[in-house]
Amino acid sequence: MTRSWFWAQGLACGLLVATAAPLAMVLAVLFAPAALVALMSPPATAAHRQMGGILLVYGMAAALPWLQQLWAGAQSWPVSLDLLSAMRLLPSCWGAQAAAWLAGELVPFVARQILEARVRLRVNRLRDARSRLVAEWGLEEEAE
Amino acid sequence: MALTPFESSRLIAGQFAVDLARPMPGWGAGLDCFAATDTKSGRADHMALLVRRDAPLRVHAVNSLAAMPIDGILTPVAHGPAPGPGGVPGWFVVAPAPPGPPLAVGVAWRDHDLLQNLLRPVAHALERLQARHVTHRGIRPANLFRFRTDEPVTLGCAWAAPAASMQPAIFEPPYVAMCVPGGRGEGSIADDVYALGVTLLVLATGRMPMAGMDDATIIRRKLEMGSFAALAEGERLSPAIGDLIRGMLAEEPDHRPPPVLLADPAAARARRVAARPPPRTQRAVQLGAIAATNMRMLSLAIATAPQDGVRLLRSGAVDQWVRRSLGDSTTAAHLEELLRKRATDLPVDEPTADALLACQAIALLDPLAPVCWDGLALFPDGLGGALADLTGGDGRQPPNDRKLAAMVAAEAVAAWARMRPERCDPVLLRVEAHEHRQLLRMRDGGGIARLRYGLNPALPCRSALLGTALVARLSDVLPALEDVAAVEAVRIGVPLDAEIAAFLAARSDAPLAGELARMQEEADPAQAALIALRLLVWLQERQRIPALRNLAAWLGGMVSPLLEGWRNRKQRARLAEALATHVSAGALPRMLRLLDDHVARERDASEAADAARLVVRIDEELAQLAQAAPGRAAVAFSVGHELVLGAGMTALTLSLIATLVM
Repeated sequence: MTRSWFWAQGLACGLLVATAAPLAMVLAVLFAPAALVALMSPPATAAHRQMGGILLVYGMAAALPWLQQLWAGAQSWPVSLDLLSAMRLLPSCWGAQAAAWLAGELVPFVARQILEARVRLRVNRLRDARSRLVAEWGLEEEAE
Repeated sequence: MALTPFESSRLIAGQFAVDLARPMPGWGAGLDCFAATDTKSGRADHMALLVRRDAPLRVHAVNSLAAMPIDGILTPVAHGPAPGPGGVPGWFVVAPAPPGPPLAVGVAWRDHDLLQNLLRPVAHALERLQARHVTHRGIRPANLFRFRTDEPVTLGCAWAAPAASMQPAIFEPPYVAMCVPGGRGEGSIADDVYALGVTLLVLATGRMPMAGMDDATIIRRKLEMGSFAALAEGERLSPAIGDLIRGMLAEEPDHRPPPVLLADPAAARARRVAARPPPRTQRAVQLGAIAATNMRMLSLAIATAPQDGVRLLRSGAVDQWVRRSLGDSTTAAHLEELLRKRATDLPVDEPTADALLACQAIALLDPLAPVCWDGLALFPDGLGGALADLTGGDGRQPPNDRKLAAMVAAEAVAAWARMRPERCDPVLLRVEAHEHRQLLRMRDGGGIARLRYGLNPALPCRSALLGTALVARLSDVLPALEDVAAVEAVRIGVPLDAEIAAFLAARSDAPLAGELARMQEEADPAQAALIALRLLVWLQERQRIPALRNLAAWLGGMVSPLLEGWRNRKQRARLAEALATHVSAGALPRMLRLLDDHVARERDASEAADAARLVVRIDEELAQLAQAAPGRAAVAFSVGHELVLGAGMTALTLSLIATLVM
């Protein structure tokens, strides 16, 4: 991340806090896990930022109906506090982000296992063919 | 009664059976002689002469005479192989049995008997031989036969050995007697007249002249005194017989009466040729044991002691002696010219230059003398006989091998002929000498053995490998080798040694020399065996011999390593199995086809190269797969995250739609 992009992000956050403080507070609470993963240090890699993005998308998908209520309530502090105190919003949003994190960890692992299995199959076939050629044509010396 | 195939195979020319239980000692003119039976007529009135292995028969003479017999001569009727004494196979020449025993020396014959019963019939026989361009070269009392004293004599057989090789020195002119026995050559009918003259003298006097003298003394005395004087010294001969013998023993062959004249003794006696006696001097030149008083004696002395003779020649003493003592300035000038050439000619090695000088000087001093080379003397057409007599065999005479090889390599015959062009055809002899030299030096299958077999079409192969087997024809090679190969202990190296190779090269009309040379030069025994197999197959197919199991077993063991050259293991195993089958069947052609399949071998090599390249490619791919593991992990991570993100974006879109709709 470049320094200007970092400062731009800070400026955006500052503007959001200045103009819509209740919304900023709700977003900060809801997406704290995503921010935590994205800014995991030291140092925060692209993978971490990508994972943070995934968590943000999943959290947003879970929190979007409640955020619509906040938007409808003119982003007032009471509405914000009501939302945060509601029993379903926070577990849903954080649960979605937890599921996203789990999927972000499991799916690459599974994909890697599938790839490696295919490679092992190919390697075994090649080794069999090589052994057969060596035995049939007496290529031991050359093979060594 | 019909003969069994085995009995037929033991007959000579399918007709004559040799009765080894009935030897005829003393009747074979020096060769072993046995009674023989004509199985077709049932008559036992033939004799078989056993040809010595180092002295081949005179093929041209035998074939010429067998076609049409001559009265008064025991002309050969057939020749061929048959079991000899001790079961050892031998080559026999069959001729009618003599009418009686050989002539005995001890009783002087009467003149009438000599003229009517000896001179006249032998002269007639020689006349007929001359018409066939054949010489006898075996006329002596021991080779003349008659039953009763009042009968004409019959000339014995003289074709079962090289011409004149069995003749004692006394019956031959000195220039022939000084030759090695096998190298006397066919000679001329005048040489037969000389031998007849000596025979006449022996029978006229009833005793053998110069008895007890060795050959060197006989030759020296004949040259010193003249043949007639040396032989008839102190003898009392009737004027008629004396005149005849004097003419027949003339030193110059052209001065001897021809057979047609001898048939009329009165005319022969009347023929006087005015020959100028050779110049002599009282001041002799001592060379070795010879005190030469004429040029012919000096030439003999140089031939006998060549190194001393060359020293004398190079010192200039010889040409001075010839010029001053003998007054022959022409010969002296020629000798000086020879010495000048010796000094100025292209440089060759000293011994060869000296031997050439001696050879040419001898021919100049005595135009009748044979080719003399380093102590050996022979006539050009006797080179084959000399090679058979003096080279190869048991290996006891390597110096003679070298001497004859050096003589051929130096083209001594051509140099000799140049010195006496009026007595021979120098162009023909030069061409022959050049051919012999080429044959000797030929890289592919040349050498002294090749020359020996080339010049002796009836000489049996002398390979030690063949043992006592008689291999005189190309068709004899394979059966003999098959018998030899039956003994496992003999199977060392290839079954074709250098002698057999030279024999095959000389006897075959196909260009085998290159293959034979490659076989001998091949360092790898298996490859050499493959070439031998190729040659044997060529022989087998030519002779249509179905199976040669012993030879197949011999070669099978040697060529089996060649299968290691096949890269494909399965194919190699299949071929080994097939080879074993062919070996047990004795099928040499199939063995050869199996081993000599170039197309299959090239295909095998090409496929082996393809396999090797494939293995390399596999190794490269395996290495690439091993190196690509981190990359695959990154791809899996990236793809996994993309999938999850994609699902999240889908969920977000659905959530947004649901929120907007509500």
